[in-house]
Amino acid sequence: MVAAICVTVFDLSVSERVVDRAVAREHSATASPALAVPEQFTRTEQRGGLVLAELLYAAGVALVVAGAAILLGRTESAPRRWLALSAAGAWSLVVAPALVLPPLPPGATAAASVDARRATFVAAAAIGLLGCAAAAWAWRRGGGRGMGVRVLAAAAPLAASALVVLAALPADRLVEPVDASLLRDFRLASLASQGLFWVACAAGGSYALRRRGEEGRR
Amino acid sequence: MTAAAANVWTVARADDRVVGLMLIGVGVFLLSLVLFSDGALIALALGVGSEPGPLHELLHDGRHLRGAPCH
Repeated sequence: MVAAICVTVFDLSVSERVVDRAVAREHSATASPALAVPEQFTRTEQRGGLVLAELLYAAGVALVVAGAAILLGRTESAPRRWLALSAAGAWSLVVAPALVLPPLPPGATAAASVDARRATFVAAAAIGLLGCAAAAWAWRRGGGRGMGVRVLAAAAPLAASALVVLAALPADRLVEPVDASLLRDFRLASLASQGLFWVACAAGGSYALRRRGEEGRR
Repeated sequence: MTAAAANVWTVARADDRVVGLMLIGVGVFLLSLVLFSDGALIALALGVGSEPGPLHELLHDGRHLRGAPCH
């Protein structure tokens, strides 16, 4: 919930300005008003949709992380488990897909079909998740060794998963070039928004679990 | 099943596993609503195309900002 509130405030005050620019450019690029497809929702209604999307996304992430934490049992302290699972979520849902499908603003048309790109997104997320599972396994196996060796052992599977995503999955190509400043601003806003979400999710969840643990000991 | 995966299954109790899997299932469904919407994940699994509907349009900005393919 903390993550959803943080990212909604950020998106409504920063990211939506860039989305509005992209939508305005998309509408102005339409050759004839007669050919323009009428929008189902106004921009104001879509801002409401953005808030709904953030709440659904945050609830989905919270349920997946909580479910995974239950499956993992008491192998780690609860706050550390939450941090590790949040990092795995960020890697799988943001970093791995963005390697081949960097965020695109509205109006930018990719060469591949949306279904093909969705399949690529799911495959990249799955490969990223496998990399995280391998990293967690390598971290635990290196229990008796120094911190540097453990970090390297855990980083290697993550790097390998990134290389697999880059080598095995098709990279996104645009049909026609998009205004470079718009593309840069949108990607910065999207990555900042997603980074903020996962940092708030990791910090908020682990803080709440630490507080609950302290209250339980009293 | 790898040793690590086997370890996971022995750590969690059977009824905890059911709760954990249910939470993950509901969570993945909610994530798919935002990232794909309109049953697109099911369509993808079945290898058929999907048509965008009202929910797809309503969650449009959120999907773009999460970096998911939209159109």
